[in-house]
Amino acid sequence: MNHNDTRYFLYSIILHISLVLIFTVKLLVFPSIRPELIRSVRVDFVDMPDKLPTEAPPGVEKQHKEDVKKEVEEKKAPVEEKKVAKEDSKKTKPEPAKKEEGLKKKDEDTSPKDQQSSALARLQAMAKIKKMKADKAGAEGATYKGNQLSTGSALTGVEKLQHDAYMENLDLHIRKNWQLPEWLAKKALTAAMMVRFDENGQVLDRRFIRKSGNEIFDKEVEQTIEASIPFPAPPESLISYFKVHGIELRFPE
Amino acid sequence: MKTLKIIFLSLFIFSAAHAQTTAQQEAPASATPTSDGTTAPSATTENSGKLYINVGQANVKKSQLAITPLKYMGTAALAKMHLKYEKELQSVIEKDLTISSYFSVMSPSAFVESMDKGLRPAPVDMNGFDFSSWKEIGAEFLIKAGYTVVKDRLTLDVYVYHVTQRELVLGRSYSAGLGDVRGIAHKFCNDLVEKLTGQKGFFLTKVAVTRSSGKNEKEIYMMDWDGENVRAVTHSRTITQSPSWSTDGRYIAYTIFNYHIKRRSRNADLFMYDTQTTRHTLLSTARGINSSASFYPDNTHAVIRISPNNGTSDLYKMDLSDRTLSPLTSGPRGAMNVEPAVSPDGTKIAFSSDRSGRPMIYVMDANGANARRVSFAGYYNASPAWSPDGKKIAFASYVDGHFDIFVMDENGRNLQRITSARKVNGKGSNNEDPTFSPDGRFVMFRSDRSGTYQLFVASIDGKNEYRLTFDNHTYTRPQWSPLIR
Repeated sequence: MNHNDTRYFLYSIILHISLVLIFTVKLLVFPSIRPELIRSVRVDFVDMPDKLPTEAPPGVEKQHKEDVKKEVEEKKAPVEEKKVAKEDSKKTKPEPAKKEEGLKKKDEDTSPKDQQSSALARLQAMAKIKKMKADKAGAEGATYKGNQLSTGSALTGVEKLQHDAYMENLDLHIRKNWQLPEWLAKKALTAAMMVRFDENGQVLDRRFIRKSGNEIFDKEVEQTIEASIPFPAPPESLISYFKVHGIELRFPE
Repeated sequence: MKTLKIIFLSLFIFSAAHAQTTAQQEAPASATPTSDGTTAPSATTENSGKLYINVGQANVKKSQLAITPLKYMGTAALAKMHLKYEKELQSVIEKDLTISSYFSVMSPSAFVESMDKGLRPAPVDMNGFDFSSWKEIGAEFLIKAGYTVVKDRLTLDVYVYHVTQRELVLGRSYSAGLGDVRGIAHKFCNDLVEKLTGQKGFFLTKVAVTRSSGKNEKEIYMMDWDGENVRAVTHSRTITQSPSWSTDGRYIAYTIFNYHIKRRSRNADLFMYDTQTTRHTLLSTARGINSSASFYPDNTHAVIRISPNNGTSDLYKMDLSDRTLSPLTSGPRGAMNVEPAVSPDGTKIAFSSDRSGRPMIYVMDANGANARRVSFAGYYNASPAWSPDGKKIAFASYVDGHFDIFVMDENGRNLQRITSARKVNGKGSNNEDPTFSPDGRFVMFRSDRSGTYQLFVASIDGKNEYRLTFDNHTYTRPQWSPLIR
């Protein structure tokens, strides 16, 4: 090695070391910067439980529209679907199954397949109970898919996001128009109004559920609704609900 | 050398990979609680599945207010003589209601109805006004008023209507001597605000303030809250300053640089002025500076500041009946404890102190225990003032080379800026010495944005600022009186 070579070698080493240092420091100082995985991960996670082959209620089938094409194809062959579902539950949800296995092991000494199917049966039963609860809670279960979000399926997961985003949007839209004269603002008055509207956000009808007792306050509430027409167009899954049942707007709460 | 490089490289790769895996592990963990819809139902869904939205607190707006020119209803021949009262009444009402920020006073050029119409609506009064001609131009409230002058008494008849509701909000008659025309206009505005909000209006309150009155001379002045009706409280021909109100609005304590014949020197003594008897009484004459009295709610005691001429300053509680003192702060050595402000309920005392280096706002219990710092931002914070509900403290903070008014919660949270005005040359102006209005919706302060220090008032959100004084004097430490009677 001649003199120049060693020099360049040294330069190279120094450069590398500094590069390594820069990245290490960056990692140490900003360890929390990560890609925005949260939303997508959330969808996948919530996805899993619903892939169980329970008989979907009529409302749920509609939800499936928005799901991946893959599943639509699978529906053609119902026998296969079961298989896929079983495999899915095996693949994608190992933790809960294992836990339950661990718990059960002492009592029963069954083959893993049996354990799987029994776990599956339990989950199915749980889903059924939830569904029953939902049905009990209100007949609107079928038309309003929003209240099935709690079953924790991927579809309702996606819909929940959509639903939340829409409600947030609607809230902002109305809040923007909600004004009171300052001399009235500090009085503890409340009112609530039920508003039904169609897919274009046009108000079909509105009625007071609760009046404040102050005419000017109630007029301001009506004016707020008036100024908010048209409402933001609801997502498909919520149209029928808003048409039939409407939404309760509480001023201020 | 090569091995070293390899070690570094592998270290780098390892750490990068590690960071990624941890990130991946953490992400789902943080996502699960939110995705678990079963345990955390959507905020907008009731148990029954009904959807609702809490729209929340409304945005506030001002109501459009039309005030028709006052009608003179007395003998026609004397109308011209009384024109000045008409102007005065009108301007007081407009100023009060504008600054109240409840109303936006409409320009008379927008009015479509003839001003000849009577004070009452059409069916009642033959020549009455028509609500629809006021609704048409967007007025929500309409004030119709007339006055007569008989000898040296003026009588004002006022009607306030809610235009869209087509109803009378307030109809009242006020009467006063010709010297107190402003008073009845303020009284009417008080009544209107109380009728609409249920809260007492502050339009009859006063302000005590230090004002320059010649070369090296300052005196205490008292004026109406709107900067009018100024009169001197002291005629000391020396420096008299730092006034403060007793909580019943009867007394004003102040400091005067008195010449002591025995000591053959001047000393800053604390006096108290009785607004009812107009007598001045001596409170404290300890060597040094005796100042900044702040009264307890029952006015039997006051916190005062005594600063012997050695660079320190401490707060004392004075029994006003026998003038005895008990110390509230002591040091730390060399520290200044100044500008006490007793909270409206009398349980706490806010003050400024430089015990931590630069002056900051502190709050302690009424007995002097438990002092805690509540202001941390800003280079230098001073002159704390309590809101009447005792929830907020306004103070002046030195930031970016000048003072501005800020308001925070009593525990130091929710810091909000109220002023940010600049001088004509673009430089920041000083805004100091805040004092709350009795209803807590406004802060009065002094500002040098126009050159000399003048008085201004700003709504607590900082949105509306009004100048109150228009002269060449220098104003210091305005103190807004409580509601007087």
